[in-house]
Amino acid sequence: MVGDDAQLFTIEGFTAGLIMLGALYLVLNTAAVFVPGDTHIPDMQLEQLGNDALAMMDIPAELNGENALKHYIEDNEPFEFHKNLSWSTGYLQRKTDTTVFVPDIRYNATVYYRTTSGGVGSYHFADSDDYSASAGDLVGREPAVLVSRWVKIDNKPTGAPPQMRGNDQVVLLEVLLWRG
Amino acid sequence: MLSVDFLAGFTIFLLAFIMVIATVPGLLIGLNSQSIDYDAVAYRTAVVLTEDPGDGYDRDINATTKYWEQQVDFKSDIYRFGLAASSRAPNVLSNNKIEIFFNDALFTEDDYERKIIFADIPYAPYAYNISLTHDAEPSRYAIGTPVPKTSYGYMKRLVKVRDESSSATVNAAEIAGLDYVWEDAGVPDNVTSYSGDFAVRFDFGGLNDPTIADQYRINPKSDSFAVNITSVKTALDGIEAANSVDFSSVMLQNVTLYKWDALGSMWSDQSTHYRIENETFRLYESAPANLYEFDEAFSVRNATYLLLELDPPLPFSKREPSGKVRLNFTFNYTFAANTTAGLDSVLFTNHEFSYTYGDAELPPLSPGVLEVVIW
Repeated sequence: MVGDDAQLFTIEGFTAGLIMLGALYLVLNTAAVFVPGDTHIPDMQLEQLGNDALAMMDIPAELNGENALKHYIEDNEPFEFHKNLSWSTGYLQRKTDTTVFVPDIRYNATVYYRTTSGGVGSYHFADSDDYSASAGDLVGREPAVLVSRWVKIDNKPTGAPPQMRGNDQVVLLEVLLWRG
Repeated sequence: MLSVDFLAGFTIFLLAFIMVIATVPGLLIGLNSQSIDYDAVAYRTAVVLTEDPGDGYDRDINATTKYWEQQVDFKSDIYRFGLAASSRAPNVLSNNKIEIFFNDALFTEDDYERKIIFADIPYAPYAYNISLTHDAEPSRYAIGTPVPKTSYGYMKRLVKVRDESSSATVNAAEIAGLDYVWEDAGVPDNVTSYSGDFAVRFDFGGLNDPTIADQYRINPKSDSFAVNITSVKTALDGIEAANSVDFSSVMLQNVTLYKWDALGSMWSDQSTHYRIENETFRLYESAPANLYEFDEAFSVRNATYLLLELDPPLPFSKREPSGKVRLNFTFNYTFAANTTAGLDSVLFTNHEFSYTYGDAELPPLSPGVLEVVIW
């Protein structure tokens, strides 16, 4: 007396309901949630620190004093640059001890210049692997940030590639920084 | 045999269950919106501290000023804190501003919240900890509460600190050979006493030289000055030996302030308008304990040095950026016997020392670091 034919209508109704609910669920689930990790704040902090470090090297300590950054590039002193940037007395490791400090910032510095033929050349200047006790420090877990500063030098640095011009010029020092 | 009804019901139940479980990860997201901006507030605070000199109101000149550290008598006249020595020299901080800012006896938490953190008082105050260290100062400057272990916003800036004081040394034993004399008044014949001046001159136009970068420029409005006259006793002994003179006394009579009057082309005495007091001028004789009281004469016959210290701002420097002032020290020499004429019988016969970049020693900039923590 009771047939199964009406089941098809019921199932059709349920299926339509489920499709509507499923569509609603997908729409609501794609709403973006704002979390701090999305704003790349740790990258910005590292970039500001790197910019400050290069700016500090570019400000002489006294009137008519020596410009440290110019001296490091012009006189080819990568080790002095490394000490001033990255040693425990260097700029990247300065702290006031109000928070926990982990000394793990690595860097890789390159100098870009205009060649005698008008192109752009570059040479490796310094990196944190050169002077570390354990080799292979040029590895890391996070993406690097790039900071740079224009430096005016009065002559070609000693040991610079031959295609670099000999007169006074402006070079670009680029430093990649990352947390190792 | 399973009926279709059962399958349909079970399917709907299972789907609903899956959807509920799928929303569980959303419970773990920290959606407290206030904590998200701690890093932004820390960054903003650090930028204002290191790159802005601050803002205040100076009642002396009825104008806004960046020297808010000189307005602590009226805290409502300080609108915004800032530690930079000049907006044209970011990351170079002023030592005077640092000393006042980190003095938490002068300011309350409310002051810091309003004038540098810019919190929404009283609804959403932030907790803060601002600290600074630099090479020339062994201890750390800090204000605020101790930092929690997690969940704070943080910013670190590298800075150089400008010690806003300069000093110059004048060796009295060598003064005879130097070109300091402005008025060639020699000691006349047959006198038993003589008064001669030693003047220190500040030329604001020369000090405010715009070709010198802000971080190295001597600023009469904000810098302390020190002039150290050394070897006074040695010089007086030398004069006695070389010229057969016998001083019965050498007294510093008084100190007078003169201002250059451009209209009249003369130095005008400011004694009636400007009281020289120990709070802004200090004169020491031979030891830090011997502070000169400006209302009585004292003997300098056996002085190893005379040290003059001036606090900022120098008189008239705020209203007249290219003015000149001169501090005249009047010395009175009394001789045991009548003298013969000549310049060499006394130490100072109207000598003038001009405080310029060539003679002044400025301390170097001191590297440091500023950290701002907000939670």
